[in-house]
Parts: sequence; structure tokens; C-alpha cells
Amino acid sequence: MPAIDTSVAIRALQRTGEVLAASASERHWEVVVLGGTAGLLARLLRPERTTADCDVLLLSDGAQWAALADAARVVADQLQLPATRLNRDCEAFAWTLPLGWRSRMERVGQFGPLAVWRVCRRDLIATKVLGATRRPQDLEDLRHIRPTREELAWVREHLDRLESEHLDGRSFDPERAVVGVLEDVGW
Amino acid sequence: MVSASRPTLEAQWAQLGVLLAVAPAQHEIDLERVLLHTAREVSAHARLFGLTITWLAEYSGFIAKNRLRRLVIDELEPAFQPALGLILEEAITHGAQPDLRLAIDVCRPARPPRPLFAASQDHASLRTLAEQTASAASKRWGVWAPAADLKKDAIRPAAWLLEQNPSLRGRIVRRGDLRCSILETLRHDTHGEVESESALARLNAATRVAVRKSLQALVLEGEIRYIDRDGRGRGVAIVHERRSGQDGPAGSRSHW
Repeated sequence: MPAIDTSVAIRALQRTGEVLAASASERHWEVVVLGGTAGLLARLLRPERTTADCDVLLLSDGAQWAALADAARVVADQLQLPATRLNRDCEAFAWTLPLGWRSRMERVGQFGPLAVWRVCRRDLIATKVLGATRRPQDLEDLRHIRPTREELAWVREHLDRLESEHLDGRSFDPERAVVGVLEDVGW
Repeated sequence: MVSASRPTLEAQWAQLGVLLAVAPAQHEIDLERVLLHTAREVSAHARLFGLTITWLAEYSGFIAKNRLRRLVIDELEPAFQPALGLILEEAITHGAQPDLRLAIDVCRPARPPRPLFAASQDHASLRTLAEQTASAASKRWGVWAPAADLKKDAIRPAAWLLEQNPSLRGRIVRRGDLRCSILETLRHDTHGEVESESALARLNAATRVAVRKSLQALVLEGEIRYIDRDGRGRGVAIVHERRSGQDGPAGSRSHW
């Protein structure tokens, strides 16, 4: 069975860049990909276990989202993809990203006026640990990624920080339990 | 059952418009058996849980409900019935056709309860977490799972689905009713004909009266015909088991 793999994401991003370029605007867009597509692009996740929808954070001016979303919808229509395939629903969880994640981003490519990055392996692991308490697929992804003990220790520090700074005093013990299992089992 | 070498479950879902990052199966899909297969595999592939529910919420009209009910009774091992029951119930909650209950009603819950997903089953702390975060519906089915994480942004539009799977068009026209079950049963579970209405009623877990009414409609639609069995009663045969250029998968079309 041939895998579509990263060509799904790359082709759609390329086309989106072309549509933006054709708008004859002088503007530039910059996004960072999170979630499963980031894992696909980094070849950390199995294509057959990952959906090719594209969760992004917009790094450039928020007012530019409308044009980018419009271009993505045009491409979705051309390629018969879901209309909201490129989305920024993950922004609600951006606060859970570890400190310094921007400095660790890895470049995916420049598609006309659209610059695309992805979160690095370590930050992807952190987001997966935080998701794993309510999304069993994140637990499966972690099992596949096989974080190292050093990476898990770093995630523990991140959880400690989130807990200490959380305004409602939320406990991150469930996430620590996930880290504990990963440490014990050595998946 | 008429079968060829079967593509992977993921490739079949990709053929059905789920945006898994694999090539579509390029193979005619037996939709009801895909659901059974999913019930067997979802424990080890958690992402399929939300994806299947999302797909059903959008496209349950394609499902031949009577046939699904009969396949659950005949083919789905009891260990996997709770997963299917939960998936179908969650799908109805999110907008799927209520007559999926035909199949739900023959699924049995798991006892004692356990986490639905294998990744949580072998570790006490993860089992506890699974129970704490389980939805009410999953607790009723005895397979702890969080509320479905719907992924509408990972399901392709109906136009793509129908272009890639022309045989689904007849299903949606009949909205998965008993006529649809009869045709899919003849297509997938027999060699295109059965010896009697009674046999067809058994194969669709339906009453003879209901089957007869549906057959009358299908005769008028030109989809089936009665066949004389040399004085041994009246059989039923599908008229076009495969319409050239219409029923097969769209093998040569690009994925994109």
C-alpha cells in the first residue's frame, strides 16, 4: 500500500502559497504546524495512524488569518479536502507549549509568501503528554515516538511549571501518571 | 461471501473519505464489514474511534442498517460488540440516523468493564485515568473511553466520496433502508441471487412482509428480478450485480 505520507500536507501548503501569491498582495504569512501533521512532517508518526488535517498557530499578525483561511478553503475545494482542513483550533491550547518552543521550531518550507514551521520533537512530545489524558490516540502516538528518559524528565519539569503557574490551581497529576508509565515501560 | 484480498482498514477508510495519510484502497468497499472490522481494531487504533463517529454523523445514510444488524449477529464476536455499540450510539448523539439502533440493539455490553483502548489496559494508573475520563455512554457499554473527539476537518466532502465510490450513490438514494440492505446482501453475501424471500429475510434480519414490500419496490426500480426455480418456489436475483463504469471504485482517479 503506497503511503501518501507528507505529500498530503506539503502539496496543500504549496497550493495555499500559490493562491496567496496570486492575490498580488505584498503580505507574508508565517505559521507553525502542531499535532499529527507536525509528527508526520517530522516522520515521528505513522501515516496510517495519523490524519492529515493541519492544526496551525499563526505567528504573523492575527488580522492576516482571514486571507490565509480563504486561500486554504480554495485549495481544499480544488483538492476535495475538508473545508476546514487548515485550522487553528489548537490555539486554545497554545498556553501548554513549553517555554522557548519558538526558538526550537523547525522549518518545513517557504511556499511563496507563506512560511511554514513545525514544532520540534521535544515540544510535540510535551503536547502529546498533555493531550493523552483525554485523547487516547496521543497515548498511542507517544508509544510510537518512544520518548527518551531525558525527554520525559524535561516534560516533568514543564508540567511542574504549568502547575505552579496555573491560575486555578489545576493539578497535572494525570499527565504525570502518563509520564510515569512511559518511564516505567520504556515504550 | 464474495471477497478478494482485502486492503488494510486504514486504506478502506481513506477510500471512504477519511483523511488518514495513506492511499485509498482503490477497492470496492463493503461498508458494513468495515464497521465490524473497525470494532475489532479500534482498541489498538484509538484515532479511528472519533473518525468513525464523525464519518457516521455525516454519512450514516450510506449504511445498510438491516444488513449491519444481521452481520453483527452472525459475524461480530461478543468481545467487539461493546465497541461497535458505543460507536453507533455516539454517532447518533452527534447526528447520525437513529435507525442505527437496529444494530445497536443486538450489541451486548462488556462485563466487567475495562478501558476500550489497549494503550490504557495494562497499567493500573492508566486504567484509573480511563475510568475517570470515561463518558457516560462508554460506561454503559463497559468500555471506558472519553467522549468522542469529532474530526470534521479530517473527513472529505460527499462529492469526493461519491466520485471515488460510485456504488455508494444507490445507498444514499435509498438512505440505507431495507431495499439498500437487500441489494448489498445480494452483492456481498451471495453470488447475486438467493433461493427465496424467506432466505433474504433471514439474511437481512427482517420480516418477510417487510422484505416483500421492499422487493416489490426494487422490481419496479429495475434492480432485482424474481427467478423461477423449476417449481421449487421463487428466487430473487440482482439485475446488475456490477454496472460497468458505475459500481466499481474509481481506480484510476488521482487522490488529489
